[in-house]
Amino acid sequence: MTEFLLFINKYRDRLVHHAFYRLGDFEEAEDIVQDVFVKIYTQNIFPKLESPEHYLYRMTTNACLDFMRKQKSKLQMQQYFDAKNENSLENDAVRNLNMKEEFMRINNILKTLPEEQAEVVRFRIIDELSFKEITKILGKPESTIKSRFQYAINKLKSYEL
Amino acid sequence: MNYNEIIETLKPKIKVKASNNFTNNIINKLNLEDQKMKKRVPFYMKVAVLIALFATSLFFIFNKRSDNQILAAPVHQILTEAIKEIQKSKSMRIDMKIRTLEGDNFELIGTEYDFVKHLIKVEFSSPKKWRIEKPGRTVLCDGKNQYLNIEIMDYIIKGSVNAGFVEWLHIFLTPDKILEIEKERAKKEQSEYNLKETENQLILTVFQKAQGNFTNDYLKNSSVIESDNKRVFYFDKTTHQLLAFELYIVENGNEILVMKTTEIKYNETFDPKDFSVKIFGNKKIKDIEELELKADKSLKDKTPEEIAFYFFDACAQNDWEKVEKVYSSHSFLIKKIYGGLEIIEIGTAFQSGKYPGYFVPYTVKLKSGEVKKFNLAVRNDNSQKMWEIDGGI
Repeated sequence: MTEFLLFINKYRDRLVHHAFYRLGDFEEAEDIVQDVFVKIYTQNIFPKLESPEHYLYRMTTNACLDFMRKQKSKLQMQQYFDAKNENSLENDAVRNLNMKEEFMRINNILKTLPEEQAEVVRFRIIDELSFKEITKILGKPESTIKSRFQYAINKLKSYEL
Repeated sequence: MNYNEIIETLKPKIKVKASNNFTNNIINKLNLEDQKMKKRVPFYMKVAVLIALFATSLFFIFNKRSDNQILAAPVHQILTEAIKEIQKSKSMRIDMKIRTLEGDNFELIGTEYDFVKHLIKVEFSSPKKWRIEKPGRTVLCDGKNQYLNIEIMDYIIKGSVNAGFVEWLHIFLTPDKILEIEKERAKKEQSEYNLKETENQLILTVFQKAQGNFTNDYLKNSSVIESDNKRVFYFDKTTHQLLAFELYIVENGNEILVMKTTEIKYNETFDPKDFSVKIFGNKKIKDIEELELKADKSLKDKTPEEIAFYFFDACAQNDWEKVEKVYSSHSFLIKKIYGGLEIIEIGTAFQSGKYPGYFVPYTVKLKSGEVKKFNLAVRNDNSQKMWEIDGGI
């Protein structure tokens, strides 16, 4: 168990950061990442992982996508964000509010990109991963990842702040 | 934008980190999984349960609609109307009583305490002005700043308009938001609802489970969020205006009333002095930033137990400059009571509920001869990661 706790401590911040900038909700992000660790432990995947970082990112990304899919439509997702905004009144609001504003700021820009390009940008800029690492997480050729990133950057050059 | 500007713009300015409870929550979830495995029902039992459920559902299909179907629409509609009523009003005065301690913070609620009167005045002007008071403690906002007056302290603390001086009670400054949240939950069926009708009123009852980590249940039922609770809203049957609110904490199967509005008035005219810091007289005003500046970076790497020891040791030596490094809002009363104390024991820190800090059990002998045994609340969840004493004194 000690080994597993060390394993959690090694990756938890990076994964919560990643999930938060996907969802814009700190509590949901933590919940999803916790469930990823629980799954890894209960299914006994943990000792067998060769490349844990990539596996964890992939699982977290998929869990975030599943969560968002469950919101069914963009409209409902917006209502979800609005409701979360209101709920944050109940929590220690200031930090949450700053984080939420930062999420909204970045997400508003990424919304202008096709999702497959936005995904690469998230991994590269928000999670600060190399193209090689993104290749392993997404299971696509490095050339595809690089070109998606390049298309995204070209498109964002015309974006006005 | 050029390449560098794009990268700089998209790079998050806030690095998100997992909370202190993160690993504990995983362990709790793993324990739950373990219990589920142990409670796994044999196949033949599952079949029996399925047959019973099927029979029950047939009964409901042929005899009546489900309660949820009946409730969802009216709850949503009533809340929408009530929100409109609040948004139409220019001001609100809420008289309420809460089971808590006089003079203590606005977050504390306990079934073992007596009721303490609270008064809330909100002027929905732009900027919004408000005031919340209870015996021994008042917070007001003049639209630009918040001011906290604790009677036993010889100065007033000034914070920004968003300062967290009123903690959970903050939600009563935007009562329409409380109803918005309930409406949202109703839509998603996140809570259980019950709607009753009397001659003049509609009574909406909401049940919700405690939120937080209760591996150690010290904080269970110590605040609203950290309690299994029942909320009751009373609405006028015709206008759907909110008339009253009650909050019960469910403890060992018993519902204990911990909060109750005694009167809600709309559109009352308030005296402008109610929202002016001048009402506190000639007390000196200290900016919260000024109080926070005394933190000592060398304490950053200490454990919660070491911080507790540092604090009590400084009190023992009457070294108030040292105390100020971890406890910015100490008063002359603290000096009088805690100065020259003797440390008997500092225990192991623990976490509970949604509180982001730690509780350190302590036993000290005060100069008066009294032996005090309690839990010191310490936290370092600020941007500088500086430790501060947050309560438990």
